[in-house]
Amino acid sequence: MHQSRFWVVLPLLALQLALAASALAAPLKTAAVEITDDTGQVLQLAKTAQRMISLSPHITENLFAIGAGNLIVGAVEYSDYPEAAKQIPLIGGYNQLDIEGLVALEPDLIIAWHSGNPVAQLERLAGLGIPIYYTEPRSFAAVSHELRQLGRLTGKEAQAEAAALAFEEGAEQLKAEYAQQRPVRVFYQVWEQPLMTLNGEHLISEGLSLCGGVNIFADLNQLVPVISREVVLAQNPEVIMGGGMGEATPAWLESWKKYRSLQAVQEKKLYFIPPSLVQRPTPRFLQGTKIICDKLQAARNF
Amino acid sequence: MMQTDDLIMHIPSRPKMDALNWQIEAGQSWGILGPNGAGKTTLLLTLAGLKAPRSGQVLLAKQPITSYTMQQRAQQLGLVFQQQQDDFPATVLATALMGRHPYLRSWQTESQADIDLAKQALAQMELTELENRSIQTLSGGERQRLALAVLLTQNPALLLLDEPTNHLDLHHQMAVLEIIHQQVQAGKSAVMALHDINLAARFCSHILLLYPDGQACWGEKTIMLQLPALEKLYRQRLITTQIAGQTLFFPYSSIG
Amino acid sequence: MVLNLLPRLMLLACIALLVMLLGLLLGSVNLPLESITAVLTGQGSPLHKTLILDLRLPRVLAAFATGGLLAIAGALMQVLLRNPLADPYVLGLSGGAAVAALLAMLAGVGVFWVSSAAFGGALFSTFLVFGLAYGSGQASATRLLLTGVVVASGWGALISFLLATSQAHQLPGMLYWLMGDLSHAPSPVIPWLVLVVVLLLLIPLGRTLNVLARGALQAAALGVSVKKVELMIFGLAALLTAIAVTVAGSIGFVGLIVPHLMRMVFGYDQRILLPASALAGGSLLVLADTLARIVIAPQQLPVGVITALLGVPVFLLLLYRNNR
Repeated sequence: MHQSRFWVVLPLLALQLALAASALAAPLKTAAVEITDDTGQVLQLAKTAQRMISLSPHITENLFAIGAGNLIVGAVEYSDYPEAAKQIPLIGGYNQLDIEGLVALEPDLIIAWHSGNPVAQLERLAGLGIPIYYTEPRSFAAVSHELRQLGRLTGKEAQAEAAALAFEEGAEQLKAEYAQQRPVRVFYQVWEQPLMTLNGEHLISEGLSLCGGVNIFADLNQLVPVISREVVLAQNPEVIMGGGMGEATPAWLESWKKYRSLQAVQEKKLYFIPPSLVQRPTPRFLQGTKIICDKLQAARNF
Repeated sequence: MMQTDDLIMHIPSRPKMDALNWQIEAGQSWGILGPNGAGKTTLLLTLAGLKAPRSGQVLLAKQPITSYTMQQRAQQLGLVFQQQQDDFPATVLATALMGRHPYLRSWQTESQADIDLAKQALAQMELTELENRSIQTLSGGERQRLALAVLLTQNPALLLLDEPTNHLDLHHQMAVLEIIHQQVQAGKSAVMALHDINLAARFCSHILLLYPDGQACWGEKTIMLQLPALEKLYRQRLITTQIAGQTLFFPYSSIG
Repeated sequence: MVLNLLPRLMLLACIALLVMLLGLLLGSVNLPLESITAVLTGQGSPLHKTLILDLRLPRVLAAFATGGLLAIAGALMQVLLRNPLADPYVLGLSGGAAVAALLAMLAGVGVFWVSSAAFGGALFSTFLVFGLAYGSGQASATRLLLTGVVVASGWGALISFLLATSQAHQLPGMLYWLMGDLSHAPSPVIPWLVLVVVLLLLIPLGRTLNVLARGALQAAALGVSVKKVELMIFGLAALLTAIAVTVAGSIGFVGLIVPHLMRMVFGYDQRILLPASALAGGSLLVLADTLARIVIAPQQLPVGVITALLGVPVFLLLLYRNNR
């Protein structure tokens, strides 16, 4: 009996599937926004986003930078800049999302961090029909691009353009001032235990070259590789710089002082870069780059 | 040699037990008979001082056994257990040599004399050919003989044996019991838990009957090995026969 | 009998020296052999001096001592638990150390405090397992093992919790610690001191350990004060492991396979097995650490990865051969 009923239902089911498929395939005639994200996916929105979820602290920061901070209804942990960002309801950490809490906020757009957020959870959210825009800013150009894209998604194009321009001009200015100066060989330390640096693909490395610095580990394959202290000693960089955890004076830099053979130690060219200014691809990164440029200039003027 | 003073073993499930005032002299070999679970192993452990009694005490050469150090005890009395642990692949000879442990200070290594003693014990147990084998490769009977070889190497005055004929074929059963007999003839004492009444009758001078209800009686074998007492002990009808002047006991069965 | 094996032990000592020399010679920066002799005789360039004397020598020494400590601790645990598959971490010691160390990292304190926390966590876990297993009076090796395994899985859950809730930039540090890493080994003086003292203490106890491995009752019948000796082994093994974990995080497999390998070469006598394990464990860890430093140089691997990669096939091979 069950079988016979199934055969009756089957054509209906097929029809429904076909309808659903055509609905997905057909372009939205009324799309207010059609935009390609950093993964090459085309996203269409019926109207500009009004209830957004930010899945990374840098996205939150960039949305505030274009005056769209008030459109964020949910954010992940450590979304701590600007101060107002701390008031946004949390929907988990960037690597572990609270899907129920997220859905309950009834967002009309999720801005995701492609390499940071868990793929399975994002697929789940996409399956629920919530539009997702993926970002992956890894260069100066990508930061201003992201600001403009966020402007289009939120309808804040003018403010976004201003923020992007300011960022671009600031970078150009630094480049004009420092890029042609005497190159300074730099070891940039990201972490102490294990000892980590970054390669040439990293945004900070781009900041270094903007300031006329040369990342001694630019050629390594990994973005943030663990390296040996020996090689740093053998490479003998002119400058050692890096952040720490928090803004306190880093003990990391101090620990290099026992290696007297290092030029950077002999000439006291160990510099602290506040990590909060360089850890996220946002307009604040420009301030961090300025500090890097200043330090390198001080090293040149030794 | 050993004496128990109002000794009551510690068996938690058995609140009422006879106190043992038992005397083990040099030149005596005692057989402990009793059904499964009567406490034969516990009694041996208690005598060896490895298990505390509920009350009373065990005296070794007139001194409480607890007043001796572990090492001193091990020089006086040795124990063969029903089972041996062999998680690690020691050789047969190295294992036999452990019998010398009670006599060596911690910084001493085994002397040639110690090695000779161990080899002699292995020869007595017909294990010489296996002396370089790992104990993990031995059969059950070979393990049992090795355990006895350890005891012979240890060479204590009082031998406590928990079913020494376990796993042994007939030839080795006789060989082992004859060696124990020789040791007793030479002035030592032996206390062995046995399952076989006839072996006890042949190789023991004295018998201790251990009843599951906590009763115990002990004395010379001719007095102890009486049909009614044994039938009560095992709750089993027995039949007896005389061969070559010796009384043999067999369990009676309606089948066959 | 024991003395017959001394030549083999000497050979092992020579191998250990060679491996340490190799560890001095190899690294992410290539140095010619002459530079080592030059530096060791007080000459050589400042860079070579720094590389060899300040970086490689302490690290090689720390690696050797750590490997030795772990191998001895493993051998002791195997005797204590009468189980050839026991390792130094089987009683949950590394888990306790790891949780404390990760908490210290989350709090953002320096290397010294992370190490101190690891030591404290290891001792805490030791007392916890000991208290739970022996608290009720009668404790068997099985009960101790079971308690340790359960406590270890409890720590495992806490470790997962800490990893899941920490920030992205803290993860590499935590993972490197969990896998075992010698790049921040503190001064090798204390581990060496402990290694030598404990070995001198244990070798006279070796015969007792042999007897103990035959079971608690048999050992007692042969005059061993079982409880006292077991307590001492437990305490020593815990101390050795705690120090090893403090130096290098939780490095697996050394404590498990080295005593096994040495039993195959030297037989089972603890008097020779313990020093042999110390030498072999030290050599293995120096070798693994040297590999960790050079395989993808200048990038670095945590040494625990290499010991496990070396250890797993060797162990499986042993198991296979023993079964045949």
